[in-house]
Amino acid sequence: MPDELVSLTFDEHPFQAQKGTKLIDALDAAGIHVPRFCYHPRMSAVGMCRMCLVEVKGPRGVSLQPSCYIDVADGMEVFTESAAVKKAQHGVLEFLLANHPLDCPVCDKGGECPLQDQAFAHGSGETRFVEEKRHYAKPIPISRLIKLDRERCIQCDRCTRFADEIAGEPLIDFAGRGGALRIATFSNVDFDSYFSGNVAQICPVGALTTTPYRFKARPWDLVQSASTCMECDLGCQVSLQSSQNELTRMLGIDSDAINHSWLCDRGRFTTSAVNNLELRVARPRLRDQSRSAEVSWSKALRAAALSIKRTIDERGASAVAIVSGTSLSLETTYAWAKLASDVIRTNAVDGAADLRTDASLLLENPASINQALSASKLVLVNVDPKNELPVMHLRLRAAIRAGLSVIELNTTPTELTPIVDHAIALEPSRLGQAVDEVIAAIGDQVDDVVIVAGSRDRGFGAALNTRVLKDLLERLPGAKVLNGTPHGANAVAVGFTPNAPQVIRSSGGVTPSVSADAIVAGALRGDFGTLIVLDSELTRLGMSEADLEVLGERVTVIALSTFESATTHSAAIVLPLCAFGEEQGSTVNVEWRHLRLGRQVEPLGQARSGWMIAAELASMLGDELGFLTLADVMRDLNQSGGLLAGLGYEYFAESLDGPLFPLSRREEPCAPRILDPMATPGIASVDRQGANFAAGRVVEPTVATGFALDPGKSPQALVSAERGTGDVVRDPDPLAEDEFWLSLVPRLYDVSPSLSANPFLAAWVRDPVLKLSPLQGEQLGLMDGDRCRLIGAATVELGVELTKAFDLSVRSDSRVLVVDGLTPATLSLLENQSWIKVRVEKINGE
Amino acid sequence: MARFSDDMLSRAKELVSLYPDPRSATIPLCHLAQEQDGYVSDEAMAHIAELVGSSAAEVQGTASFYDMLKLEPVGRYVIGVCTNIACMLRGAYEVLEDAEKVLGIPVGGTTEDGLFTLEEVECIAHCDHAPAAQVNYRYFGPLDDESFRSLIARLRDGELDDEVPPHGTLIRVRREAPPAIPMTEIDRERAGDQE
Amino acid sequence: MTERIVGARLGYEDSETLSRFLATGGDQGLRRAVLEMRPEEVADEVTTANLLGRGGAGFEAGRKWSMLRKAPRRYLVINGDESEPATFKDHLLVERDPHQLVEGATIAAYAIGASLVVIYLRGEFALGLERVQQAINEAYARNALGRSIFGSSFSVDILLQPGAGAYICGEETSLIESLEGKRGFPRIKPPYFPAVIGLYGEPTIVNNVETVSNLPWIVQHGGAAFKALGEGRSTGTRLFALSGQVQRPGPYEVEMTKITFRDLIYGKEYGQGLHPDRSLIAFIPGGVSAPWFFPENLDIPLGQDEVAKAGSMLGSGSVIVMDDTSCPVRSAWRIARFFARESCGQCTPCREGGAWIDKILRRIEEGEGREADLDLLLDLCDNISPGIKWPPAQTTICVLGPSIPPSVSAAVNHFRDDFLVHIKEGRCPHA
Repeated sequence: MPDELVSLTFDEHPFQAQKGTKLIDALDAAGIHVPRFCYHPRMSAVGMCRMCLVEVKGPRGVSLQPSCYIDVADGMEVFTESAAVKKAQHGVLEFLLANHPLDCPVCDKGGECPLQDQAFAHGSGETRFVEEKRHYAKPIPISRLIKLDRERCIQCDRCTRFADEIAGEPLIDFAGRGGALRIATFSNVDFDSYFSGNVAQICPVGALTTTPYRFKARPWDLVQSASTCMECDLGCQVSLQSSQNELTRMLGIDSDAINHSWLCDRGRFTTSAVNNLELRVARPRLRDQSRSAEVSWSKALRAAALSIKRTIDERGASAVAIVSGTSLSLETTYAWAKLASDVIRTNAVDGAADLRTDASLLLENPASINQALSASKLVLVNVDPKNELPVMHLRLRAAIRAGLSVIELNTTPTELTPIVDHAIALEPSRLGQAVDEVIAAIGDQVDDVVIVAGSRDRGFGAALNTRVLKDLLERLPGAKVLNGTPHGANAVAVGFTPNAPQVIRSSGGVTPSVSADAIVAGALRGDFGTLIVLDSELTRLGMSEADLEVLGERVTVIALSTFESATTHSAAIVLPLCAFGEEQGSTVNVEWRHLRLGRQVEPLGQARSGWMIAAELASMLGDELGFLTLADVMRDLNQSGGLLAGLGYEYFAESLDGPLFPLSRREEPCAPRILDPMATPGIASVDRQGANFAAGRVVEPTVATGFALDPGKSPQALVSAERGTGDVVRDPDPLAEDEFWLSLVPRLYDVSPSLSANPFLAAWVRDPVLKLSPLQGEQLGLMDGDRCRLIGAATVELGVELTKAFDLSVRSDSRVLVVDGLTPATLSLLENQSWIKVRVEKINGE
Repeated sequence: MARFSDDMLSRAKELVSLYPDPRSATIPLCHLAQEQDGYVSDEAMAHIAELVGSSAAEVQGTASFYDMLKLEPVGRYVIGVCTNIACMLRGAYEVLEDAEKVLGIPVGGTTEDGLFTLEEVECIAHCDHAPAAQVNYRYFGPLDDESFRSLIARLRDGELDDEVPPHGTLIRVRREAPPAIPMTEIDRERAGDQE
Repeated sequence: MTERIVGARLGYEDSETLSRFLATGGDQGLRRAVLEMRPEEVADEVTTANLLGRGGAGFEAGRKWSMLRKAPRRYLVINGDESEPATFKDHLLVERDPHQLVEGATIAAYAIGASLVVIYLRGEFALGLERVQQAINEAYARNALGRSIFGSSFSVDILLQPGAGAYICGEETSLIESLEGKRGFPRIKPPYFPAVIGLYGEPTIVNNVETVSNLPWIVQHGGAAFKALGEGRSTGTRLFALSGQVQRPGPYEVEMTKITFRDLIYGKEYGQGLHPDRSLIAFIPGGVSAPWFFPENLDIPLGQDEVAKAGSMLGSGSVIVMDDTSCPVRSAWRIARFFARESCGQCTPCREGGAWIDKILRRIEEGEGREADLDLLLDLCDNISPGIKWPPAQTTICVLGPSIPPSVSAAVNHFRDDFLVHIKEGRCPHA
């Protein structure tokens, strides 16, 4: 866009602003703060609150205009300090306060309330309103997470605009008219949205509050640091706030590169799980037969090291397996990669269990999120942004509204399907055809294509994902790729997965080559002597609870974990890991941007950072990783070459977002961003208390002095090597009349240890269902609410849900059945294979 | 109460089909729901949302904005006494007081037999017959104590059944027209006479 | 009695029937337009006539049409949501001459090349809605509507949309929102005119019922004949709605500028004066949004510019008469209460200010006022409409909020003594 400048005056001083800028933004840039309530920089302006009125001289003389709504124009004369402006603003403020309750002392917003701030700064201090104020029943829970106090509401339209415009879920709207205008959900139906917490964050008063934070703390008691949400790898920037060594809440920071201040509820409320001490692993423990006992760190580490050592000695290094399916910090991932490669020297390593594609394709010509959203055509491949990278869904919606053309290639419709330009079905029998259709849909706009490549459908294995992506890249040689898998970016970045084994490799190290699926299967067969599980739940990786019971007889399971889970309950050795917010560090996100992790509270009990545990195990195994401090890990990473060459912490002192890697990709300047105090009052207010927000100084934990085992034999050569991309792609066998392909897709609230530990989110976990279009239902003789039996690799009973939206987007001849929701049971249908054929039987009610 | 009955549903779909954007049918469908049930029930709003492609909260937001759309059950006859300036100057508040006495209910109330709901309304554009009142949006005036009593009596006796249908039935004349000319056809025609 | 245009049929008992319509020149304007004239020629006649919009703002209809953005799809919306207190002329035209309305709307659609016409009628006009629907049905039946009207190449549909009870929907952008199935929130400006971005984002002309009801006559008799009536910018005739404390309230069609308010209120063929024992204390010349006039303003002619020059507006053409038995405090309160009830709630000053002013005035009326309330009232008015001047300045999106101050300030400034009696003695001097 050409930078056309216009010249105008603010209070008789000349200024220049880019054409198309909103007057209020131009005034902000000039350092003139006009008070406002309804304006939010990430939403369309509505000019409702009338607080930002300024005088503008136009052809018909001077008039009061809402600065949030009008664009700058050449020759415009703007007055922000005139008597008329002050009187109008004072008048609006008085009107807003007229019916506003005087309950600031018990209001969660007190201390960080824009209305309160305005009233203190510009209010008269005395009320002329002697009438009875408006009364409403309050507070009304509009969901498990959000409470509504209508008396405090100033009708700014922010929450309703968010729900409609940003989230695309107009579940709250105004009701009534005039003085009775109020916020309402439909007939007290829940505000059931993945994004509900945002409405509380952007509420300029205390009308919408989050249940987890209600009455928890006062803003002036909070301290905060900048951090990155780790619930998925999108990398949403957050302000992590705490009081008296307890995490109190998380707020979204406006990162231009990533989350535009939005968060999903799963991320926002993750602090409630961290604070649930009952379900946290606080101390190391060892299991002896059926009994588990807490032990000291040294005892636990010695046992772990002994198990590893014994396995290496007896069965070779490759009989030690390491697996992870969640997002660990970059430092922890790297330390474990180094431990596996250089010390244990095993190839049975996969730190990105969820990533089912050849990650080298993700790294060849990577796209940033913003590049993806401004592409000539964006191709979504096997990814469901809403359920996997929720805030990406919001960014995509906004981009589509602004004109982005999207082609979706999925086995199962997503919530974006109705608004994308082309939705193309991925089915085993028509892979080639699907790719052809994508190419046809792109037409001649091939210059600036970005592909978001994910691993959404579990029925769609790594080999298929890789093949589709490869085919697309062959046909679209210039296309950039954005990683669309929610977990595993750090593992890819440091080569801690067979899907990306060549990224960082210290000379002579062992390359990962056994996929998580193969590790799980091998462990059940007894192929391994020791299985190390890094903060993951084995039942999410394809094991059943019954499997876990027998697993211990065949292999020593070492579980490093933040939360209790089926895995920790059955593991021989359990080591407590720091939770989110308890350790300093960093991470890379889906676009390979380096982002900081803030430490805001002390680790619970004896929990430690994962990198430290790796360092201590290395020394017990008679080697050294050379990591005594976090800086040591970083120094190593900095010099490791490859993707992360040049990594460091220093840039975080200047900017919220770190740089993109490799550093040669630095296409967008990481300028410090002025935060609109009205957009994020909770952050601004805590910032004002002097918390170390931007700097996030590294507090150095250090490694306890380890003690070495007897120097053992050097690790043996690899025994078994399976390539991570799994099965060979072949044309599928034809389906029998009553057979279907199984599509198994994840949901945001699929059961997991951190969700189970979250008192505010656990209730959102729902049973998986067989999701059918009404037409499919008719064909199968299944109705909404029926129960059915699905027969695949295992047999599973499921409820049936008919989804009208599917009628529009599922091909009428589709031979795919969709199971919505990952649980140990639904995963057992697959048994880690791709394109399983299933049959369905109706269960007749008793 | 209920979603649209089969008969009402076909009328609803016909209404939706008239508009270039289905959401435009929201208010006509709310009137239709009132014709069926006397008011706009939650079930009807949810049904309307499905038919026009809005969320139920949006339909509620629209319906609750308008005075004629009742989200709670009302009497068979909703009597609205106008007290706005032109009627007030000619004795509207006296009529309203009489009405409360005659019906034995305050403004906003419904008689126990479910026959009458009393409202105080803004100008109904019947000022040359002030003070005026509407019964299910059928106009009467000028009114005084006596004529109001007689109006109520006639309503009770069913003498006005032809003139005043039960609350919710607004337009008894149905649209009789050929199918709507498709916008695309009009677009093509009009494209010719663009400058 | 002056020339009658829109009210020509009102003398007949059966004015609403098709037979009466056809027997009295019905369809002739439309036939002439679609069979003998090009659309621009129709528009030119309307421009020549200098037909001022009859909805309230008095904008030239021809100029409005000329601002229509040229796009393949354009809409015509007829605003029949007449709800301005004491205004009942559209009600009359809708109920008593629905065929004329449909004919006028079709002529307008032809002139601007509308893809679709929606007649948005106030929901409370149940009888009018039925009669207009009947007229539309009959128009289709005789090919005065639909495909190839009267054998011409012009095709258009008319839809009848009932409102649902919200004064604000008379504001044209609010009406469009309502027509899109939403709350009637007026749209924020810019864009200033639906002619640029209107219904469904397409260019849209919104014309008042009385405005288009003039079109059959204009097409038949020519714009010049219309312009020959009245004077200056105020051409043709207007249907004035006289109400309040006069002997003979009612609708009176008069040639513009040719009679004065005194004539209208006291004239034998019009209002026939007040009750013999009473005297005039004030009258409102153009709907309750307008500043009040007092006995000294009686000799102002009924013309748009003439009334504007005297500091008020002809607005919707409704004249409300108050005699000395009425209480100005009560009148001001009732008007303020109306606006408070009808505020859409979008803008803070109108939503909160309107409700506040309503409460203060009611308190004064009930004898609970304080002297400080009078300054407070004026200051609150000033915060809604800075300067309380005419035409009003505004701190709001639309003019509903700024319509509150004229009555309040007129009453407080002109009848201060009445307020003081309420406040100091707790009684109404007119009771």
